[in-house]
Amino acid sequence: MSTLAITRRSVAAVTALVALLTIFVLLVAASPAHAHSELVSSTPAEGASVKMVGQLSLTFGEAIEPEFSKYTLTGSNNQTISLGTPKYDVAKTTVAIPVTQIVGGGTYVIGYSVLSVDGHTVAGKINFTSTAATMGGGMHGPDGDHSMGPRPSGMPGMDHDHDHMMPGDNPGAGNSSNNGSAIWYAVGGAILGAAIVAVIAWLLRRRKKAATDEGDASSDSDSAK
Amino acid sequence: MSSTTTARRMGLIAATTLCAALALVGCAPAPVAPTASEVWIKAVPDLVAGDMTGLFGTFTNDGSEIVYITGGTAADASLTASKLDAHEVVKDASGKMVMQEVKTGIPVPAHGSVILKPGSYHIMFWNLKKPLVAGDKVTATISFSNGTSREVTAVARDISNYAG
Amino acid sequence: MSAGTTLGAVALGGLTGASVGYAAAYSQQDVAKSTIVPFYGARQAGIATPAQDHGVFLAFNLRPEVDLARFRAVMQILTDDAARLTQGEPPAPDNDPMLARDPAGLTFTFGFGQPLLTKFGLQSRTPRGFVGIPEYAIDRLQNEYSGGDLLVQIGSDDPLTLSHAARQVSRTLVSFAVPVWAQRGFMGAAGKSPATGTPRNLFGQLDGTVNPGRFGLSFDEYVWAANAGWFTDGTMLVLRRIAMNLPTWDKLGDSDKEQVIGRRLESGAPLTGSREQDVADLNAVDNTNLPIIPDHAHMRRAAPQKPHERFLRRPFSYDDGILEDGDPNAGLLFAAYAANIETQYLPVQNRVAASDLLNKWTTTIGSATFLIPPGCEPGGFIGEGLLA
Repeated sequence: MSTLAITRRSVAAVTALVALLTIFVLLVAASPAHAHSELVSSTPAEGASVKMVGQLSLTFGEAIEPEFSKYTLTGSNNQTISLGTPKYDVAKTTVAIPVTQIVGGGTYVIGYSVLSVDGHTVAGKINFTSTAATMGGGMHGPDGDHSMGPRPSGMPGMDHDHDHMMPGDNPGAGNSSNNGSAIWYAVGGAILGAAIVAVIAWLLRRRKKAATDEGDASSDSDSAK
Repeated sequence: MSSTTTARRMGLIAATTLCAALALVGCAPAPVAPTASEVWIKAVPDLVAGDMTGLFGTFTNDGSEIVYITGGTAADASLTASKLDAHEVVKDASGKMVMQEVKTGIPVPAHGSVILKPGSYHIMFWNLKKPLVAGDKVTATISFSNGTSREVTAVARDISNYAG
Repeated sequence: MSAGTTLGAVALGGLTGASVGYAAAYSQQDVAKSTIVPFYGARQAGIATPAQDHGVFLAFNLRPEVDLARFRAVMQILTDDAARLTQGEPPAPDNDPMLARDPAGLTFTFGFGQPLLTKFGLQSRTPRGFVGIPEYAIDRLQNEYSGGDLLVQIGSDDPLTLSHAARQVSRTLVSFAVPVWAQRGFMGAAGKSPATGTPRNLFGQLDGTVNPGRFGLSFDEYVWAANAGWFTDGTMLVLRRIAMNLPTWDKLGDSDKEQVIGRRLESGAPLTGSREQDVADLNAVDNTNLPIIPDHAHMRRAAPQKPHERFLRRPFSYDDGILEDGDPNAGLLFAAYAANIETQYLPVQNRVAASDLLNKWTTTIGSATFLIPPGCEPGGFIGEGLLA
């Protein structure tokens, strides 16, 4: 009878452990950086509405190979917007691509096809809207040239992002940055570690109590004979 | 006896005598030498004085009587001036394979062929005076038991295992 | 004689007759089912011949004392031996004639390296377009697989036949040449496209889709030299030993591999088409204006940019065991045949070496080029046009 009780309690403990493990795995899997070189964030972000587009910025979960990576910017009438030479950070996880042509109001799609260093192809698209007035507007020269024409009314101050390598504090930045994955690992690990210790302690206590019960029971049953 | 019967008897005797005489010479056309194909000779690139080598190939006899290869002569006296012998390889009393002259010659069966090859029948070239390098061409006249002969040209080939 | 004895004798006679008849029929069957490829002809066999299940490329360097007259005799012997072996007949000095009985599609193809022409003072007769392949920065050429005076390429569907044929060549050449390398490979039926017969390599890729002679493309024009004096009806061989990094290739998904190659794995169709034979649309873009066949996909880099940049690919796969670090020692014996290496092959090779996604998983570790002389008739020998 007490052995069965131990078994039932052990099963419950193991079930709890498995549940915690599952949560951990899900946390890890949900972490964006665990997949190959998936896109982690971009500026403009998916679905964003921006006033001006001077450059595109894409951040991937793993290093990519510049030689085999390609980017496009296409307008709603399938017009190709010309882009300058992409610039990569040292880690080759973030790329800044200057937009070398006027981007008026409308919907746009960024196309990307990059090769991660382990050979996987990561491709996708990012849709965004520009609220810039279609006529006029500043002409952004390639690679950070700040030559500007007359600004149309309503436009904010000049965008200083051209020479920045990192996305910085841009409004509308979507998913968590790639620093977030480390936090998830730490949180998950802490939960799991604590859970394992708790379950082991509980099992030991149960077993000790059961042994004590059994000793009482056998002495009881002996005396009952 | 009538003269016709006598004449017939005489004719019969003459015919029988003629046939017998013909039979004695085989009652056959002139003898033909067997033909040879795939003729080759074992190369001796590093000559040692008194070295020997063997000639091999396929001899075919289209005639109705067996013929024997009895020997021959090399065309190039600077290669060897010695007579060529017909040889075979047999097992001696101790079980070792040895070569020896075939006194009657190498048989080429009627309407058949014989293959001369290492470890079997071959024609011996004795007392070589100069090396034979693979690719060299050697001409020899092979003699047969029916009094005929055949000129053959052998290509010298390396062979790694033949020790004779 | 009793009735019983008579009966016994008749039975024995019948049995003997049956055995003889069966044996005769069986050997007839053997000869009939073994494929025989003619040896003599205007062009050497083993090039237009579909790749056999097994192949070997043997390279030799001639010993210094071999002069032109001797080499002519050597080529005569090799030619005669090849003519016999390919027909299922052992050459006269064959130690193991029973191994010559089943040619199984046996072919011999002989070639001369540039050093051989130089050795005999025949450089001025080098055909136009016979150039060496430069050593590219991405190559890791090993001496063991490069160079060679004399090439003997042998192919057969039976590996024992192949080994015996190679052995016969080595025995013949023992006095004249030193072996430089032997590169063995296979190209089996498993994995061949059921629709088109294109074979697969160890990347799982259908290999040889755009070959001359297929899908309406001319063969002779690209492979056999024309109006080339002694070299007419000859061809030029580029043999590159390409090591494949199979462990890292294994990490890719199917669609990753297809992006690298530019073709579907299963069908061999270009990414812009649906069938293997579909012509690729290299200008096609998707709805974000990205090219459907990536800029650096192998099939784009290797595609002809001028109409004459075509050559015959007749490769064999190799799998020679394990390297020191435990990785598989496997890859491709890439054999390409063209009438003119310089105009047909080299531009493509330069493009691929400069940039090709597939380079991430391959390393060229051997490279050699050879002139393949025209064929010959009985009584002649391979190379007679140059050497006589």
